[in-house]
Amino acid sequence: MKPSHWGAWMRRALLCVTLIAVLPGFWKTGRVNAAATSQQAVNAPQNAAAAATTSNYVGAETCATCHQDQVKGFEGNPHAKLALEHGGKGVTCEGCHGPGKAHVDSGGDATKIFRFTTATPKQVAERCLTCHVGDHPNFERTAHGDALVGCTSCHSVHKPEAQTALLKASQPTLCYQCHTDIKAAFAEPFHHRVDEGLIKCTDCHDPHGTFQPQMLQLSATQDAICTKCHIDTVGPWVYEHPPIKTEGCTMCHFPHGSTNPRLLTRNNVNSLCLQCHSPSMNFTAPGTPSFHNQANQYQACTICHVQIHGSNASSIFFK
Amino acid sequence: MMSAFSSISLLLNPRRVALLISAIAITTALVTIPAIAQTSAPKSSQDPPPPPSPGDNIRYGYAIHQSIDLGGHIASYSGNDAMYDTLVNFQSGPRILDQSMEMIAVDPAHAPLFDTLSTTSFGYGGDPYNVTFLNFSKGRIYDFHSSFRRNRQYFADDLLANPLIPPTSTPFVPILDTPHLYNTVRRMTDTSLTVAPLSVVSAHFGYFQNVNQGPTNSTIHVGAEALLTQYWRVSTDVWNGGITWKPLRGTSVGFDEFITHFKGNTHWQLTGLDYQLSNGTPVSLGIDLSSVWASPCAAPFTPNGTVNPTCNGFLSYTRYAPTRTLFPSEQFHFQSTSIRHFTMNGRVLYMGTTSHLTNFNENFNGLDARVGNRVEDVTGSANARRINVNADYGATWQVTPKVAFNDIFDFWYFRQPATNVFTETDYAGTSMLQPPGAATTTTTPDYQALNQKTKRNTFFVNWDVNPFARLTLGYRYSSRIITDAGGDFIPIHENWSLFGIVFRPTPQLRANFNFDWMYADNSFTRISPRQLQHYVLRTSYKAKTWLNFSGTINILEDRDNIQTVNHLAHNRDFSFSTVIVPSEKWSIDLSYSYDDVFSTTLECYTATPVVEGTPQGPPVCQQAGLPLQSNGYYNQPTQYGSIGFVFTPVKKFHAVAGYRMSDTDGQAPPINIRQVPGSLQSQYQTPYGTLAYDLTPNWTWKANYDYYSYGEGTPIGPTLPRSFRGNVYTLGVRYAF
Repeated sequence: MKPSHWGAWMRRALLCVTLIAVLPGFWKTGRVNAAATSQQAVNAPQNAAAAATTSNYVGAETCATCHQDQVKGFEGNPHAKLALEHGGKGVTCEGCHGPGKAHVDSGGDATKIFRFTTATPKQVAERCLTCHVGDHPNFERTAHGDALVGCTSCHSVHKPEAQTALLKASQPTLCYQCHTDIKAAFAEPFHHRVDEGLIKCTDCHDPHGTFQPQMLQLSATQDAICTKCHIDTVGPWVYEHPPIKTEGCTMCHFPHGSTNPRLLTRNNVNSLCLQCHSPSMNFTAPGTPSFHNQANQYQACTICHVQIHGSNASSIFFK
Repeated sequence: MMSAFSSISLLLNPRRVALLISAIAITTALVTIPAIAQTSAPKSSQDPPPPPSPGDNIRYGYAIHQSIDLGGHIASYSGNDAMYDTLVNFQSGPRILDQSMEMIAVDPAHAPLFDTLSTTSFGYGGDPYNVTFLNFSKGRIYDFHSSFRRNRQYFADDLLANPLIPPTSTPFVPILDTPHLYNTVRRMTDTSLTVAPLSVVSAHFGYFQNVNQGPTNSTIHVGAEALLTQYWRVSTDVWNGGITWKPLRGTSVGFDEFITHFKGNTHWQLTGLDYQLSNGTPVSLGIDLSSVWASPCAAPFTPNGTVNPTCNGFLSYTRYAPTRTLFPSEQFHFQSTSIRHFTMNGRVLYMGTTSHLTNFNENFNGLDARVGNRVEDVTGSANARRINVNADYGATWQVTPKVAFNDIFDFWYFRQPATNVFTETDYAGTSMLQPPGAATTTTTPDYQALNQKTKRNTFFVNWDVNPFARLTLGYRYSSRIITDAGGDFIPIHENWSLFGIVFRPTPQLRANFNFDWMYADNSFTRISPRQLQHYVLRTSYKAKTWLNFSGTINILEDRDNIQTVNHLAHNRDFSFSTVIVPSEKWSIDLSYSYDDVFSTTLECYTATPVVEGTPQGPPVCQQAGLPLQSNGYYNQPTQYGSIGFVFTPVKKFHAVAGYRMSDTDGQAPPINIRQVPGSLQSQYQTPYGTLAYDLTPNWTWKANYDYYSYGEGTPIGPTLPRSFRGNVYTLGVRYAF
């Protein structure tokens, strides 16, 4: 190995070793405190291996002696199925809140049991994802998880307004509490019928995250989720309108609502089309022919170019 | 020892970053013993079901709660009926306004079919939206979810696809309605069954159907632009089945099969045979009848008022294009939290699509004067393939309790070769009064392809600075290559910087700010951004238990400012909302939003006559025969405001009232002298009110009033005005039992 290459390799190796050596410096000494904040009561240490012994569980009947309001009607809650775990000997309350013996023995000391109302969003997510990570594996890496929007920001196990998914409020009211910009979009004249109850936010988005941008779902055909309903645009076509497949539907349409018909991004179709179909030196999209006089019928591009999402029979989308 | 600067410069190279991360990950994996928590369950007895409350309706072992709202609408509207039907479409008549049922097993151990069942419906009897949800489950055995949605989609905005006939045409036959009217019904059924959802091995099955059918209008250009009736009939059926196995605590692997079948049976036929030849044969001259444009020809009528037989015209037209497409896909997915402080998930998918158009059949009978054809028959077929290979992988390493490394890698690839072959038989002729002449047959095959390969890696670090704040820094690299049968090869490389901060000083106050910055070395279209900045600030503050504030600033700036394009765009949104609930007796919610949509893009075109002040285009446009230039200025500022009151002075009486308005006052200089702003200067108002009185514990009387008002600025254009006013009164009774 030449001296210059040896030197470069040594520098890389040294950098790796240095970074690995520095890592322990980030560790706080002592046991991790699950809920240690100055404004929140300090919970008992939640070392799972130490606390999760059978003697520390008291059973839901014990919880019910004080928490009647939470137990009443719980048999209809999906979490009641926790009782069916472990051969029908599972626990419900303590499956989420942790072993309750210390809490009971102390006469109801709230600091000796896990409380979702005082835990941090990260702690709440860790607890819920213990069971639900299979359905929501992307959550921590998505905009909601990254922004510390915890599970209990949207869900309420004990007092849901919407039984489906145990939401604190129904869609879209729940989503509008943070996404105030989207509320206005659905109030525009031409809009997807979310406020009318026909479509839900979760028809297009998965609030727990996906691998797609904007937490969008994909259709079963691996196309934009728009094609789940707008199946006439799915193709594949012999003659594709390429940006639809490469750039997406939002090149021409607003997805939530628009002041323009067909949720277009412009009020006049010709000015929308000319944005791409003007002669340029570096783009493959053809410019409009010179006989397309914009002062006559050619200004309504889609009178002739009707099959604008794709065609099997016409390279210029006439049919 | 290298300097800190050279260390940092090392890290700026994406490949070296990836190598470093791999080294750390491997080193850590070697020294970390995976700790799989093994907790044993306590041997406590199964929780007994609580006794039913005195008010429960207990039948067949289930506590049943039901309600049904019966009533009807009284709708009255004035102005443009078609626009009312497009935006609102509530008509008079009786309705099943709402329905719900919930059944919960009193003793799940002895419930035969299900433990819980719930169903809700609304809108049946004539509303444009009808929805039903049905969910039921049985313990560990199964979960079933389903929905049915029916949507009447009526669209008749008369500016869309309107040729804007000049009033100076002789005769003047304005197109008052849109030539592309939609009147379809979409029915969607969605079902999902999970078997053994809590078990080590679980299976899931699903079926989704979407049927969209109905008559619409369309157009076709063959010499003239004829109006067609398009009988929509498209449907998809999606079957999916999958199995998930949890071999370890915290790990699951699964396989899914999706099969989608698309069936397209739409066909078209001529409508609008409004004129006659001298022999009485009905004929259509199309929708672009204008002497100013010499369309469909310079003199479409003879002195006696019949159609000039040597003019472009349609005697008949039909088109059939039955299409069948099959999309089978296989997906393998996995997820794991079994390695301590390390979570990951991913999927790999392959889809091989085949699409066949087997019996294309088009028949035109009339006159296409430019090419001298009386009849054109086209038959043929088309076949398209699409191969998708997608792979995604995400991982999070909780390096310390405060620091997490995250990485997401995506690989998305599709290639789509397609062929068609059409045989066209043209029968010569120069007059619609003469039979078709000599035939000429040509067969034309074609091959097309579109391919795109995308590789994208996103890496970001979360640092929980303290329990109140989180900082996120990240980098994303994306490589996209687009190719097609024409030999185009378009590589696009994007570099993104990602920044985020979350501030949560109290459980009541939260603010998060995200900033994404992107630079690309290429773009596929003139309006695809080469530079992008996205700023998002969201805040929420629960000042009191009865007082909530939330607000958003969402700013997206993008540009593709290369020569002859100069594309610049932004979408800047400022919004806030507040909810005041001082008591159970009343509450108010207020919302306001200002959204500014803006873009400019250099556009070249030709127009005669020219809008005054139009500049000349650059040389590349002059050479293309498009001498005029517009900067494509488009500004759409929209304000939205809403206020809502809920008032419950006594337990039996509820009142709701509110007002919503969306107002757009935009500018977009026209490039056609007859273009009008249309929806760009419009206002949409929807005040509402509801009264509900509990006659008895089971019966509630309800009355609802909705007002809809839509208006546009002037000029209206050579169409019908699009404004309307609508009142919808809804009366009903609700019976809960």
